Amino acid sequence: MAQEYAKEAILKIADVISSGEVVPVETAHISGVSYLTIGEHGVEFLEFLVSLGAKVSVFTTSNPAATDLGGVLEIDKETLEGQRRIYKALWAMGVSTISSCTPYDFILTRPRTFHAWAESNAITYINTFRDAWSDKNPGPLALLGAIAGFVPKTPLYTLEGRRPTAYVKIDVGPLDSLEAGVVGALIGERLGSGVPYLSGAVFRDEESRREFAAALSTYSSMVFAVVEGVTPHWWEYLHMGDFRDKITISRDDVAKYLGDVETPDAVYIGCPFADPDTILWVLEEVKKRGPAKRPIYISTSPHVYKQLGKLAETASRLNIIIFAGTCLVVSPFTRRFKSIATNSLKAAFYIPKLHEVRVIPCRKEKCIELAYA
Amino acid sequence: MYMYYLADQRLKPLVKGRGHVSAEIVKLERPVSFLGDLDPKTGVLAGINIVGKILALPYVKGSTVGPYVLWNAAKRGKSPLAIVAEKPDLMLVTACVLAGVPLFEGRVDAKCINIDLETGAYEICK
Repeated sequence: MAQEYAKEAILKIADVISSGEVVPVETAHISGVSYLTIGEHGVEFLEFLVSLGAKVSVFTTSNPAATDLGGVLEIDKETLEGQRRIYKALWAMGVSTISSCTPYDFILTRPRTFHAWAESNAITYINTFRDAWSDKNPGPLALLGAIAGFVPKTPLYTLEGRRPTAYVKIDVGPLDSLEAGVVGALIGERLGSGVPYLSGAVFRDEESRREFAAALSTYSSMVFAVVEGVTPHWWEYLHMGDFRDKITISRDDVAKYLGDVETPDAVYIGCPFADPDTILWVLEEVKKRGPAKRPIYISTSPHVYKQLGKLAETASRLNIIIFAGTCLVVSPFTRRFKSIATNSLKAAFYIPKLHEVRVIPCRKEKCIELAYA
Repeated sequence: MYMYYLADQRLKPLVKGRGHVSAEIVKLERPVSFLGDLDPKTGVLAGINIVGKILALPYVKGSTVGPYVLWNAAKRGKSPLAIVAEKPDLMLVTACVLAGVPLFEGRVDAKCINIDLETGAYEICK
């Protein structure tokens, strides 16, 4: 019954936006699983699907929630209860609740395979760095797609729809995490839509790739960029490119984008979730200086948190609070601060809007310095 | 038989309904976000009651949670009879399909119309 409901709904949506065509997917990743963002309405929808006997038919993972898994961040009872109901519904449907916005950490999506993902940074990451194909599906659509096993065949699920439309020369770099985020935001703001082809971009590390993907999709409707030498099949995309726009991103553009830094209440790293290298780097930097004066919050996936083992306790003695399964974008915990320094352009966009907390963008090294200011 | 006098004007049907309705139009000049602007318990959208009416608006904006809110209003019988949008997108289509609210693309300037929910053919109320 639930299978029929999901199939019918997706076919109806496909009728409107893709002439009825659908595409089977290998995996799904659903967003809208935080009680803070979907509230009572969302919970009731999930419970309605469960009451129909809904089960996902492809491997399906879920985004961060409103509560962290270790109970590090204090949350009110109502949110805790709402979040518990959401998890219960997701489990009943067979969703792997990895509570991570970086499912690409261990779902190694192959090039030219189809996926129904609904977290924009993760969609952009697999499109751009793996040439695995996903469009940005609204939260409930990705879930229905997971149940039905297919989604509407929108242009990003076709080679033609992935034709690059803008040639972007990157005259700055190698890009660290903050610069990569600014480059993503600048391309997003200048182009708005289309498919950018980046020439000359060197990403310093994994964290900078994540920040680029997150910023591009936060500051525009784009969820796919081709990076020369990096994106699988980049040469094919270069040959088929129809470059209506040509822009250059210079060192000056990046410098101008960033305002003056000021002393924050707290420092935040890990939006999208931090990889082990980034966490270990912060730990080493802070060990050199002794306990931080202001708290350094790091959000990561439960998987990475588990790998850290006792290192998380060591970190907390240095005033580094590592937490898993939620982040300062979707957790109400953020509201206790007036200002937060971060190297994430995505966090810099959402935190002021969702929590009315000021955000100070900083390079990772500078963010650590600010924790001692 | 209805088609005979409903055929003078037409909106493009995106999410089709069945039968026809004659209802007052609530016209919003600015885009709304279902999350925040619509109270699913009362059916009040941006200060105006839309229950049993046809909602006309330019487009929707905001959170991907939007479809959940319209679904919730529909479950309580507090959704509009149909929605007419100038620029419908994947979010609005998803919301209307889930909530079972017929959706049309276009613009109407009348105060009240009699519309065929399947074809989008309509006439101004007499």
